[in-house]
Amino acid sequence: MDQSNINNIIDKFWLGESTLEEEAILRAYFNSDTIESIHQPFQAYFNFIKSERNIQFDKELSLPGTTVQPAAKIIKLRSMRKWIGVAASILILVGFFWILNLQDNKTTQLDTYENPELALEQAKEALFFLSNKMDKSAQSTAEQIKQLEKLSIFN
Amino acid sequence: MDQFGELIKPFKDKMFRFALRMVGSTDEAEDVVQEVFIKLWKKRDYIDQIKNLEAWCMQLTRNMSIDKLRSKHRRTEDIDGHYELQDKGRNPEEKTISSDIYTKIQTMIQALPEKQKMVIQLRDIEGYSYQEIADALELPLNQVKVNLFRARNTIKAKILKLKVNGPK
Repeated sequence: MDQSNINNIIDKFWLGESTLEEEAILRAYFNSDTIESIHQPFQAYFNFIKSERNIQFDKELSLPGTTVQPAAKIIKLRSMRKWIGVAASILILVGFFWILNLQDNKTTQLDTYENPELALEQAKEALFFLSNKMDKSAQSTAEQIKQLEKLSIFN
Repeated sequence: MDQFGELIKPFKDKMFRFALRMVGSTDEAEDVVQEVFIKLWKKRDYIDQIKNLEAWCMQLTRNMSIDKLRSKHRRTEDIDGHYELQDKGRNPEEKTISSDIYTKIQTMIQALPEKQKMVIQLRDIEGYSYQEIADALELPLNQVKVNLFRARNTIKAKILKLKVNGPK
């Protein structure tokens, strides 16, 4: 290769004035075994370019709803795990309140009367009976006190 | 799908490398290419109306990479610290350049301002013409030239400095 021409192209290259054809000449030159010592510092840059050009995109491209399915499934399962957790928590809470409610029902008394008037009648009778009994016991207590008072005369 | 995939097959590697230059992570660059592909699929009825499909895909790649970078910036303040060395795709036989020098040049380019970085990628790595770069980056032609000049100037200065100091 004509060295003066190479010098000229290299100068143009660093000034950003070289053409694509001239740059192809430079790449070929720096890939050869006949590089002038004055140009050696720039060889690394052209080797870098060569190296970078070999980087390839080797991943398979996929369209929505086609080959991305496995990845989508994983995402689905991951997000479902969260929802399963939420559902389980709700289920536990519902179960807890249901059991609590069941126990409350056990402690409350059941209504034995269907007719409220009959219930009132029965209640009145019961209270009257209780009142009679209490009255009787009050009378007997009063009599006993009177007898005790009579006995105290002898003291 | 296969027929559709054929559409971007000729330039999907370029899209990936461009995204990789921008986002600095293989996984994210792959995501960008995948997202562009889906976007293209959604526009399949209007593909005939797209003048230059490659330029259109590169534009989308740039926009999506910038979006990714912005969300990444929100997550971490120091993006340079999170740049991974892209050794992927380098054939062992092609590794004519030592890892050390490769990393240094990689870092030099990564440190360039965004526009310069994009222009250097499309020109030096992908071999695009000025007009193709202008179309892909939606920049005026003179801006493409100015950014290329500045980027190469910075790289040249740093490469010469490397040589003066010697490889470390």
